[in-house]
Amino acid sequence: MTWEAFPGVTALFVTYLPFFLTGVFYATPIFRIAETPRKSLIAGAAALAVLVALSLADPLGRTTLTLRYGAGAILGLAIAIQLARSARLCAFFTWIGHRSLPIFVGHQLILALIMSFIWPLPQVQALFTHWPVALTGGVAILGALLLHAALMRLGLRWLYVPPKALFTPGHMRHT
Amino acid sequence: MAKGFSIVMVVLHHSYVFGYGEVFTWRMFEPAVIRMPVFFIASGLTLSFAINLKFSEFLLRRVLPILWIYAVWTLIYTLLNENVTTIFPWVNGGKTIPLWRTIYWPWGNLWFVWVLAAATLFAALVRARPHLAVVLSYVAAISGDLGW
Repeated sequence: MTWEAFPGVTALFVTYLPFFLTGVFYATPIFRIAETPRKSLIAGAAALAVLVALSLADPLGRTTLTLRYGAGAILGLAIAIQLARSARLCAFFTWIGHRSLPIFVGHQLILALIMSFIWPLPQVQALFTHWPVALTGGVAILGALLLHAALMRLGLRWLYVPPKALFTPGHMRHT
Repeated sequence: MAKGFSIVMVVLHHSYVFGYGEVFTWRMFEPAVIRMPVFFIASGLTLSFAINLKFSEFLLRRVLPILWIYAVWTLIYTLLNENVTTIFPWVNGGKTIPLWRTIYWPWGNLWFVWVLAAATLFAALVRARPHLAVVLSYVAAISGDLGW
């Protein structure tokens, strides 16, 4: 029996909870490692990821998921730490990271609209001959950010942030 | 920074799935092994600054806003999927999931928001025993992988 036998998203919750808790409770050592980026860190993380992939009997299956995710998380963080050495890349990804909520909830909508209404146009397909995934992804991120800006301008901030009155305890509302 | 890196990977993943109808893998490499764990670790790092808030304040400031986002965007996706275009072609054959079912069965990529809310609440509940909670969470995940 596995967590997939449980209803809803139980399996996803159990799969990702360890990584979330690691971020919450081991933030200080993670930030300390991130302060001193070293090439050996990314080389070691990549070697670990390859070693894990090669040594597993079920390299793409469910039985080894947490081990692969663990190695992948270390590699991903090492890549992020390395990328942060470039001031421009760091500024770009930090800027994107601060807007991850509007991108996360909006990009799917933009992708659906692109695929349904824009992608079928032959002129558009000609534009997207090379690197279609990267271009579509770029348009989706830009579209989600523009959607966010437009909705905020229309006074629909509550789509992204709950109304203050709803989440302020009653005794604090009039202070 | 890590959050920005992983959200870009998430969008690229969905672009690929939309375009090709399958998840991208290259030989033994699947970007999912980096993308989602890093996204969760980055979300955890963000929460670490607020983990010591009073429990009631923590609920109001950290958990309920995530649930709000989940409810609002579930409604938006439902309305659009019914009236405009298919939002998640690979979920439920593109058909709308009944709203009552989304309480425990999130729709499409909104599963992340649901799991984030649950994990945030869980972190607050176990904050008195953080190391034990982390170890047990890994044990639970690995034993679920292997089956019991």
